[in-house]
Amino acid sequence: MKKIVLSLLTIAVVAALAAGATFAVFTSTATNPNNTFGTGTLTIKEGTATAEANISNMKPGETKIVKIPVNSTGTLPLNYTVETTLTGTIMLGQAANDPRVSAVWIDNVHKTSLPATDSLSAAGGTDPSDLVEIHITLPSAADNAYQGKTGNLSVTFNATQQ
Amino acid sequence: MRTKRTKLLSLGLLLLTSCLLIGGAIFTFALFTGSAASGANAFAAGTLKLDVQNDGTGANFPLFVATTDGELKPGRALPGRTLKVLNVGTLPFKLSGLNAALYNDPQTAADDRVLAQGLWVKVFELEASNPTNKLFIWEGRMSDLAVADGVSVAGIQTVYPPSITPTPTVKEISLLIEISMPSDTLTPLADHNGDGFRDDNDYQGLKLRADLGVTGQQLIP
Repeated sequence: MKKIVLSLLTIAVVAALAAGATFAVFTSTATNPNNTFGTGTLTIKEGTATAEANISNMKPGETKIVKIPVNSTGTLPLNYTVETTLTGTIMLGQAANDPRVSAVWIDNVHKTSLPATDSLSAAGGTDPSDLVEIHITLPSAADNAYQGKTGNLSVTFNATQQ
Repeated sequence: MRTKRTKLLSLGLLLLTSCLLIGGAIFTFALFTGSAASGANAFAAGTLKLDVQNDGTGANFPLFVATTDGELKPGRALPGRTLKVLNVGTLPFKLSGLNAALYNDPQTAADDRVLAQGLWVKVFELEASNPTNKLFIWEGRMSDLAVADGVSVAGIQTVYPPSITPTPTVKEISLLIEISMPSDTLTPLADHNGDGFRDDNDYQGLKLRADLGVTGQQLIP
């Protein structure tokens, strides 16, 4: 009999727990306020390109220069690459004769490996702007097939944080 | 014989119980009663109260200040800061939760709270007897801390109230909080707009304000 009563009591307690009895605990929270976090900005902008001559009127063996100023307008210094693409009817698919980017100069420094790379400081820093010069050459071996053809130079400046 | 006696007893008990349950509306009982009071028994609940202080500057100045810490960018980690957690109540506790309330900067047009998805937070308890020993508590994005009730953590050291003397002596602990803007692939900046691409550039130029909270809980006996 005693065992039965004990069992019933145990069952009752377990049932109460299972039914969702909750336990109160004391807690306290304290706050450290007004922490601030800011991220920088990284922006490169190109200025207006200037062609030294009419690039659409090239003749074999001639080199034209396109000058493009670039500026850093963000708050972070950056590294950038100059990627060039030539398209248009003048690109006949003849590797030896098609016009090509023959050289890139940045701030009067010849960049011997392409794509050219350089860096800029943040806006207001010591070196926030560059002048990028892109030399386009129509090889002297280009024949009459290139006469009257036109091409487009596309330049992309890809900037990454330092 | 024994069975019959047991049955009779059971029936008797059942009848008595039924009478009691069916209620006072039908049966009334006259009983002599007496009572005695033991006066002046006093009960008082303890208080659980914690306080925090900037371990570097004292008082409760913010741990992280953008104007002096400088700008964040992927790959930059801010120097770790310590937050002192003090027991100013009468009950011992352990750390049980962390939370953050996030606010936009009124000077920026963007939703600065997005930045919380790009900040990785690591929290350690510094061992009271050997503060160079970092006891790991939690790590995750700051945005995880901003959900309702924050995150639960299992504090390691018990922080005793100041009234307990002379031992145990741990009456305050220091939390080391490290915050970085990750650039690695393990903890990439979150794709917060869900377009399937990393949105690293979306984190540019943001100014987030965060209130960092810690919760302590009484020891469960």
